[in-house]
Amino acid sequence: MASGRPVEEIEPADPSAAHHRACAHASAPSEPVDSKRSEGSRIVGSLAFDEAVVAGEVAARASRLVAVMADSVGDWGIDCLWRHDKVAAPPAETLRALRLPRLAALIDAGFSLDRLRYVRLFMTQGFGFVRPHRDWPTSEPVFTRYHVPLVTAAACLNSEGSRIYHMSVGEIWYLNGNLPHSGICLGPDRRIHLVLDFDPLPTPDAALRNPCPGGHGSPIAKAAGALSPRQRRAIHALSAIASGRNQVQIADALGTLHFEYDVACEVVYDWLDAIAARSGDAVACSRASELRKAYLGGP
Amino acid sequence: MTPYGDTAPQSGLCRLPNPLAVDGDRWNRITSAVNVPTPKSGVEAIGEWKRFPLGRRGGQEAPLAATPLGRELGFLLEWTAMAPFGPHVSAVSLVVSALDGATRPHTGPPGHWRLLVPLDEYPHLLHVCGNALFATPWGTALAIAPGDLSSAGCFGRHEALHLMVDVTTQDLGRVPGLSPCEWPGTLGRRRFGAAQLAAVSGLGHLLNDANFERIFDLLCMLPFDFEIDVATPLVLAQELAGRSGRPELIDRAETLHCALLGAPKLSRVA
Repeated sequence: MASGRPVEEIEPADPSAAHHRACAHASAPSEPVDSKRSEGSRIVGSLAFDEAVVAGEVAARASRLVAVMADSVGDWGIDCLWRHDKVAAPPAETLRALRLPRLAALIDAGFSLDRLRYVRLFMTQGFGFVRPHRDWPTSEPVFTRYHVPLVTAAACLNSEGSRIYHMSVGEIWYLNGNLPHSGICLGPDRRIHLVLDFDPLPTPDAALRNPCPGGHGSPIAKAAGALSPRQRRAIHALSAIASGRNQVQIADALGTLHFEYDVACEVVYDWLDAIAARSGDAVACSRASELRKAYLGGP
Repeated sequence: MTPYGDTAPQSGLCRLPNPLAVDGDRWNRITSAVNVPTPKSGVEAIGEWKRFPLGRRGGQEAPLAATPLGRELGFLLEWTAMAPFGPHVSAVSLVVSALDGATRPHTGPPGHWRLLVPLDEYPHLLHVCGNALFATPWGTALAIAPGDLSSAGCFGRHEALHLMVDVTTQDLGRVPGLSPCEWPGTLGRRRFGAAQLAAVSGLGHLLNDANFERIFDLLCMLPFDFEIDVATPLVLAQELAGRSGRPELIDRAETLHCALLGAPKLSRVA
C-alpha cells in the first residue's frame, strides 16, 4: 500500500445526501430551479473498454459490505474507492492497490484528475431507487459529477424533472445536481456506475480528456401516460392514513410513479404536502415540509 | 398477556429483574462499535436497521459463545448471562434502529421467546404485538411469545438501541424471572374505519412493479397509528396484489408473507 491512510479506512460519504445538505446548507438560501440557466444532464463523452473484464473486476467489490446510499430505498450502496481528503496516494495507484487496475486505467484514460474529489461505485439492484432530490439547493454547484456505467440493464433508469433516460455502458454522463433527479432499477438486474466528483468546473465536460457531446441519450417514453382522475383521488385519499410517522413511507410509495406516468420526479413532495394538509395532522404537515426541504431545498 | 406464567404463551410487556444500565464509557464503546457497515438489513426491515450478533449457544448444554463484538461489549453478554433467563438464552444481538424506519410484521425463531430490551429511555421506539402498541420504558422488556408476529418502529431524530434476546425453555409458557409490568405500556391509536379502508383500496390504483414493496411498507406502518392487528398489513397486501390480477405481484406478496413468517412457500398446483 502506498503512503497515506489505507483505503479500507475511508469513510464512505455521500456529500449529496439529504442530511449533508441539511447541515451544510442550512444557512444558504435556496433558489428555485431556473431551467433556462440549468442545463440538463447529458452525455459528454465516451470510453471504450472490455465490459466483461471491468464487470468482473468490480463484481468482487460489489460483494463487500458498503455504506448504504443515503436517500436510497431498497438495495443501493456506495463503495468509496478514493477521496481527496483521506488518501494521499493518487487515485490510479489506490485503485490498483484495490485490485482494480482496469478501472484505474479507465479513469486515467478518460479524465484529467487534478480537481478530483471522490471516486465511488454506486450499486443497486432489485427495485432499489433513490428518492427524488437536488444535490444542492442553490444554482451555484457544489461539485461536478460524472457517471460512467460499468454494469447496467435496460431496466435501470434515471430521471430529471419529467424526463427519464438510461445511461449505457461506454457513455460518460454529466449529471446536473441542481435539477431534481432520481434513479431506479426496475428489476432484479444489477447496476454499477463509476461516479467521479470534481470541484465545481467551468463547463460540464471540463474534466474529460476527450469530450464528445452526445446529447441526452435516446428518449424514453413513459409507459402509462397521464395519471387518471381516479389515481389522483387515490393519492389525495392517503390523507386518511397519513401521520407524522409514515411520511417517508408515503413518499416512497409515490416516489416511483414518475417513471411510469407523466409527472415530474419532484411532484411527490407536492403530493406529500397536500396529503398532510388534508389530514389535518400538524406533525404530518411539519414532517412533509421537512422532507421537501431536505430533498429539494427551500424555506 | 403474560410471559411469566399462564396457560398459553402470550406476548406482553414485562419488568426486568435486573435492569440493564449502560454508563458513559460503555455507551462510547457501543456507539463506536456500531458505526460500521453491516450486511444488508433483512426482509423485515423498513429502512436501515443494523443487527450485531453478540453471542450464540450451539446446543442446549453448550456455553453461550461470544462473537468478536460480543467479547468487545462483554458487559452486555454478562448482563444476559446473569439474568434469571440467562441459562435459557440461545442468541443475543444488539439492534440499532433505522431513523424513520420500522420492521414489517415478523416472527422470531421457532420455539423461542424473543425479548426486546431497550438500552435507554426511548419514547420514540415503539412496538406492535397482536393488537396493541407498546412503548418499552427502560427497565422493561417486550416479551414476544413463540410464533407471535411483531413490528418495531423508530419515530424520532435519534437511533434507538436494544438487545434482542432469544430464549427457549421446556416450559414455553413462561420466561424465567420476568414479572408483570406495572407501567401502562400500551398506547392509544386511532380507529381504522371506512376512510382508512378506502385509502388502502385506492393504493391498488397506484400499484406497479416498482412500488409494490414500498406500498407494502406503507401498509406495515398502519398498526402504529390505527387499532388493527400487527398481521393486518400482510392480509391487506395480499388483497391488493390479488385484486391487481398480476401473477408476479401475487407471487411477491406471498413470498414476502412466507419470509416474514418463517414459513415455506407453498408450491402452486397447476
